[in-house]
Amino acid sequence: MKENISHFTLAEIERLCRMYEDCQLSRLEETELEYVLLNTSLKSPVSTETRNLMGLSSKIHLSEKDLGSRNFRIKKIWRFSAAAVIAVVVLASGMVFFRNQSSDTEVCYAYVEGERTGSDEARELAMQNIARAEQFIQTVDALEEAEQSKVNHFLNNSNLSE
Amino acid sequence: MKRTVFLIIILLSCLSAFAKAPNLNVEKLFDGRYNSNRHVTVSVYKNNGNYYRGLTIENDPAILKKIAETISKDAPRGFNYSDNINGGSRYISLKIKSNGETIFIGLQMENSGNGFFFIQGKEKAFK
Repeated sequence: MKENISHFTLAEIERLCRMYEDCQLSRLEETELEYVLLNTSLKSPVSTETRNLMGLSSKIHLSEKDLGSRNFRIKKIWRFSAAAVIAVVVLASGMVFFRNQSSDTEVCYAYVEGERTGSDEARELAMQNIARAEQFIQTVDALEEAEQSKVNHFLNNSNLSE
Repeated sequence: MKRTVFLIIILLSCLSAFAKAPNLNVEKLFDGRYNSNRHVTVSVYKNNGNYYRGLTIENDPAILKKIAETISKDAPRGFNYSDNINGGSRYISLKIKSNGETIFIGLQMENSGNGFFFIQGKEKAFK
């Protein structure tokens, strides 16, 4: 039996059908003929009669049209999914981008002795405190550097004494 | 095609998990609890991508102790923590990496009960 059913001509199919009716086919060949009749689009009264004898009319088979519809549905689902994923990616990227953008609006307020101050005073106070914070950071860096120097000196002396 | 879609989904999940606000314990100290406290000056400033919040404490060791404890809670998240005593002042410093930027946290405490506490960094680090 040919492997590709598309190579079967109607004449060949009818010949095989007659052989089936004359019980000249082996079990394997009958199974193969059943497969051919289920999947071929070629039809004739002889093949239809054989199909009825085999009981193939009640069997569900995938016609080319059904396969095409099924493939079309699958492609449609994947196209829709891909479009949805791309939309989500673009939306998320936009959210991350705008989130990381610094806002142009200044926020400045202060409370002194339990009372909220004016914006000018709050700004001046903030500038003073920011400068104080910078000085704090420099002081701490200097302290850490001094401490590290002591440690290095100690280690060097320890190595020399050994 | 299926592999590409799956890869995009994985990348999206990683992206969304990567950028997030630090939600530090020290930030909660600026929830308004000290606004009406006469011993505390509260200063908040945000502009041009810079972020600053500070407390200046006068004669209140309890608040200083509270701030020091709060900093210690955030210390595990930092890459640099130091606690130094110099010239009668205690300097507690913590640096935390967030969203590619460094957040500086500092507390200067004096025996008199006076102190200065601040959180400073780029605004991006707090988003």
